[in-house]
Amino acid sequence: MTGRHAERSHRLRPHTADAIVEARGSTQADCLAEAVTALAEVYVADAASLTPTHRIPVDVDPHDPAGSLLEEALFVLDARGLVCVGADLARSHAGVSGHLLAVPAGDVDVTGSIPKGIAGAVLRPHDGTWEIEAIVDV
Amino acid sequence: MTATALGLEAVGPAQWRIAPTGAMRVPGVVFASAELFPAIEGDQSLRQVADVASLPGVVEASYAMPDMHWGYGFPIGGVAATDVEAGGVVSPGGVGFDISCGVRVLVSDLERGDVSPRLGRIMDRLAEVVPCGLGRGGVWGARSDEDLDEILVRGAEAAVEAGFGDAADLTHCEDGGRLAGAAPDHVSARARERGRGQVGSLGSGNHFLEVQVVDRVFDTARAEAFGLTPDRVCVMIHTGSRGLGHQVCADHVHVMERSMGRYGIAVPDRQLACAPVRSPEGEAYMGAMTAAANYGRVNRQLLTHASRRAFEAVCGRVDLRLLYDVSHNLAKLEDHVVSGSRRLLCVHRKGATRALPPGHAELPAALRGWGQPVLVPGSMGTASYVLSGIEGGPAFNSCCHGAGRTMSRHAAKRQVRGDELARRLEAGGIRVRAHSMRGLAEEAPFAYKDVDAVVAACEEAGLAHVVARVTPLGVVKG
Repeated sequence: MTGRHAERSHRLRPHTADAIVEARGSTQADCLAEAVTALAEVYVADAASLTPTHRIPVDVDPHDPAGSLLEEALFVLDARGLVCVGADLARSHAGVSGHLLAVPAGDVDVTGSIPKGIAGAVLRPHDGTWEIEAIVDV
Repeated sequence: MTATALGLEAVGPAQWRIAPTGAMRVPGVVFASAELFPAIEGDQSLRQVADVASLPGVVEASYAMPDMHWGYGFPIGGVAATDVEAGGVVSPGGVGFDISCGVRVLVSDLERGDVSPRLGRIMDRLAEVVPCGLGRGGVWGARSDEDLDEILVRGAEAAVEAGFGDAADLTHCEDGGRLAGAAPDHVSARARERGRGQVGSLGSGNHFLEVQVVDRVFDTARAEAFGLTPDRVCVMIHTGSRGLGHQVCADHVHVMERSMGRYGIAVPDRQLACAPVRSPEGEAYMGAMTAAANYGRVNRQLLTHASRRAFEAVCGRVDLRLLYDVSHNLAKLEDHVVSGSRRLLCVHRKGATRALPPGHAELPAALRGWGQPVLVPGSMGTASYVLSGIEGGPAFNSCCHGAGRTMSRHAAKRQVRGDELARRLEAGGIRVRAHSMRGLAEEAPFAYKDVDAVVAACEEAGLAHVVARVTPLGVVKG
């Protein structure tokens, strides 16, 4: 597991045709933000070390927090040409909201097939922290 | 899950049966040679064959082609049909995220010797004019909503009318390049935004454009009818409906997940979310999926146009004639005889190719006597095949769609660097133009099953007839 914060981490796991990303964080918001970085690292080198140049407002769907956030990151990629490399999220009365943090697609070193869909994503508690497992269609 | 655990029994040449148990309404049928089984047992795909057999309205069997592997809901290589008028369902997982992902083959009037001295320049030009990878837009530029509606409703007709091809291209495209029944109103604003700037683009992953040469002919008469004579140069294009198709799938899966309870539908895997074809949710998905399929056909038509311009820029006047264009991710309403009676079925082919027999009315006149060309792309660096549909072909006239992955992308990248792979391919005479050299490693030939074995299993199982093998001279990858 790797991550930019000691209490957060992520990793990529094998899948025959697609990719599986895992993220952990001490809070739901941290775990969700880490999953955005993990998604970027499916196809971008050192996504966690890139300095974001764009902030895109986002409200996480409380019924499918991980899936909706990761799908939003893919929408931003196709519709705006921005690679989401992280997120700045916090808990609010309505759930989790904040900003996706992004860089222009032309500024990244592409290292793998570009994700196109989220085939399933689960956010769940784990030993007092939170974890996400998502299958990414590439 | 292993073949033993599922109780597979051999029931014919390269054909195995999973007896129905539990929620399965029909048996599973797997077409594969013994040689292919170790790869098949290595993932979740056999369990998925059994799960698909539980869908409401499913008839005959849940089938899997020899290139099967773990997919979303259905296995990739899965075929299943439901009886539309008996509550049969449509499941987006039986189509896949990349709606109407498919293949087309263009046959040139050039032979290997004509191309060899100019191959590097041809590949350079193709790499310039074929948008691929991240953020390179599409051949047709960003489209307005009105233009998108034209694309979604009229498919390749819209591209040809705009000057990106000719009438013969449409004749040699499945459904004449236009799948009827599109409902653009059911394509969301988000899907449109994702697809607006990608019309005429390759994408990444296993998508490619290859310059190929016919290296082996198995059926001389058919090969000549298809124009696939020895040493003939071809172009194979493999891509789909890009971000628009993916968004359509995601949008409608969410709707169906919520509506299943209302129809009393329970599925063993939430990735098999579905709705009766004759329901508002089912009809909305079919309309949107059809629209996305038409987008996919436009996409391949535009890359055809770009390929023709690239060849002409280097070689002067070149005839690049479309042999055929066929989807391998689609659900279609088709008439078939089941248990002695003709029924309207919703045939899901997910990583499987329709394979119409000789004489079928939907084939263009030039191909009707020979059967539909079945286009089977192999892995970069090995070979691809052209087969033909045969009379009485099982699984609702379906065949495999490729070699099928056997190794994860992750594992492939651990075994070889992209630049090293490119060097090996170049040493073998294959020119590589990759948007991401590091990403190239994911598509290494060793990450796929042996396409020769997959195609041999198709012939042995009676799915289709092998016509010709083509090998790559150059490849453009996203």
